[in-house]
Amino acid sequence: MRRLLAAALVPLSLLPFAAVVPIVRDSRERYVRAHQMGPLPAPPSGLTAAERARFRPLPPARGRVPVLVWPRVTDARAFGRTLALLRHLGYHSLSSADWARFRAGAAVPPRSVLLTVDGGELASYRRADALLERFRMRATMVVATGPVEAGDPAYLRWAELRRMRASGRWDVEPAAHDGRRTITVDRSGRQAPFYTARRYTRSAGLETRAGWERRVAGDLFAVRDRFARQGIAPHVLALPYGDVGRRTANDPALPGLLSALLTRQFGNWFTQAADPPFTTHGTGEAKRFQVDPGTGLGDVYRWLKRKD
Amino acid sequence: MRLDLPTRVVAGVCLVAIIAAVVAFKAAFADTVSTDPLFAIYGIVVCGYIVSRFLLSLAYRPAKDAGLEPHVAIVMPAFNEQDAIGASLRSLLALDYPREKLEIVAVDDGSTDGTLAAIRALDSDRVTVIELACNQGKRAAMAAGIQATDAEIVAFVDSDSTLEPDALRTLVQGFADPRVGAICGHADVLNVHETWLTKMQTVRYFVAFRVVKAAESLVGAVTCCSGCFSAYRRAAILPHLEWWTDQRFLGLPSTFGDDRSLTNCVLRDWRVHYEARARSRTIVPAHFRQFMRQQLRWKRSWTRESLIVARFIWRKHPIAAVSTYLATLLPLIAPVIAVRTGLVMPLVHGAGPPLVYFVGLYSMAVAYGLYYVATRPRYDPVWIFGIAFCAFYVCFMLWQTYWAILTARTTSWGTRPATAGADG
Repeated sequence: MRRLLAAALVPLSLLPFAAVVPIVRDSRERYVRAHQMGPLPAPPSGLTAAERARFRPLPPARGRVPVLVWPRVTDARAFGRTLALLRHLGYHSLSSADWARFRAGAAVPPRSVLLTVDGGELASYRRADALLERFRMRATMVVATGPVEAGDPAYLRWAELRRMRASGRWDVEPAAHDGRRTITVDRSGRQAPFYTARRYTRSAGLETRAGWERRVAGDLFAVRDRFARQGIAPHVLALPYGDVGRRTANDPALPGLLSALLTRQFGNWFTQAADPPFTTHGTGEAKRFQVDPGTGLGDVYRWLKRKD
Repeated sequence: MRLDLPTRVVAGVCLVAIIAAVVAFKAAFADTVSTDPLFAIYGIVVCGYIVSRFLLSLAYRPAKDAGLEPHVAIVMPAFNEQDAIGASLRSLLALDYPREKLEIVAVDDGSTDGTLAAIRALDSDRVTVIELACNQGKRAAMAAGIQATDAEIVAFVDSDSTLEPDALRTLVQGFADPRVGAICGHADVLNVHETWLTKMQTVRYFVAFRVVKAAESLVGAVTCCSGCFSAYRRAAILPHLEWWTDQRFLGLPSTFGDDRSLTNCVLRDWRVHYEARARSRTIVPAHFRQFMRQQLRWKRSWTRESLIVARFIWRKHPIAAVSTYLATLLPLIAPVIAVRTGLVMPLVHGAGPPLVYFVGLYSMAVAYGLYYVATRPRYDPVWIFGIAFCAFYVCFMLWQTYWAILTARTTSWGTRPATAGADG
């Protein structure tokens, strides 16, 4: 028996390896994340001579700041060409803090713009970062803190977001904690954004308004808490789906309640539209121009030409 | 129930699995070379070195029995070995070798205990006794033994070592190749179960001979013919005898490292082999202080002799050259890597515990232990002390290297009273 136990030491010596396999696998993933998920090289993205001639410099929009949003950066070249256009037109990109100060009444340079990227996706950062560096511009990455915490590999993590902020090219602002998803809002299974409607469940029926407020306020509190833990003071919250409930609410009181809640909690909050006005001094809702894959330089230029 | 064979098979399978896993791991992390070159390249080189030792040793084959029975003189230098020398000499007298072709020369190097009496107590006319009037050092004793004989082959056996009856006959078969100038026999530990330290050394000795020396032997470039039991062609050592006896390092006599130094003399112009079937057993230090002193002495001689072998090994064989340069370089880098990985990275850079480093060490330790199990005919759980030895090495022995280099000039043996030429 004793010899048998002694012989068992041979296979048992491999046990520590089994114990470290998950750690090594995790270590590999972290390594890949840290060393192979950096910014991608910037693709050629300059304007042609014809474009430079076509997009003539615009008169400065004093007291107004255009805000652009990319729901995600899918085409680095298109993103770069938009930056090239802004640079060509003499625009200076603001930090989200500068923009918040502008909203509070501070002056900003005449051709200022705020660039925002929604989604907090790693891929967006990788495609955009080198281009921001090339054009000496900065952008605001909008993140939902839930996926960041969950470690979903598609999303940026806090360490990466901290490094991005430290680079001077990025600011970080919140979108939601767990609230960047849809919920069921009626018996037929219709979906609506987490913040903008009362939830329907088969067991409890339609959520009460107080229940909605608890759920939404809880999520917004979680956002503030997660940002505070990272030592970041949010200046603006970008509402998921860019809607405060005007399109999707199943209770007519919710848009007003949500607007008041967001203004109370964050001061400023973003929605987006196809042809929104530039942002001005004030608080509350601020609208962004959404740059989609089909949005051309001409569309952006036309919007920047608006007078209001 | 006989468990030896199944245990050996399981150990062999586990060993192959570990080597495969380590190689796969290194391949998976190969791109770390660009982000952490020092640690990554060190890891790959160490892994490559160890795996190559195993692979080369697999190709090793002992010399064929050529029916050789040359005239051999066994020289046994002794200093204060009254307890061990009797058994050692008796093992020489029991050798299966023609009496008329075997001289046994015991050299008492001015012992102050009963060593001489122990030699004389054997009362054998086959043992030639040389009595040095005062302690002159091991090299002088060995040289006196060499000069006392004209045998074609001169073998050296430490006074605390014993030989298997067929050891000498087996050892000399390699001299059938006229290019071979020296052959190192195999040494196992005699006092295996004395302390935990001797158990650890048992595995270390086995691997050092059966893996490292076997790999070196494949290209005829064993870099150290152990003092426990080795044989030299007389023609190979005579031209160097005077230099070797009077070797100096930075102006002071080299009083130890005789085996590595003599091997270097021969290796320059001859092939040097290892014979795994020629088995000896030797007494190893059983206590920490004694062991550490022995290791420090070995490292000092390694420092000196590495400088010599580096000058000519590149001409011998590419594998021998690469192996020798790596074996010189890696121990120099190892403490730097240990400090960086174990202290600087976790404490200064917040890198977390050095898991990869420890897994690497453990892999190496288990691989050596499993090799011990897989290649020994009888299963002995002492292999587990081989794993402990790796931890012991990192904790205590790794750090000796720099101290040994800084004090390489010293002439003190450390483990014995002052000898000729010693400090003070």
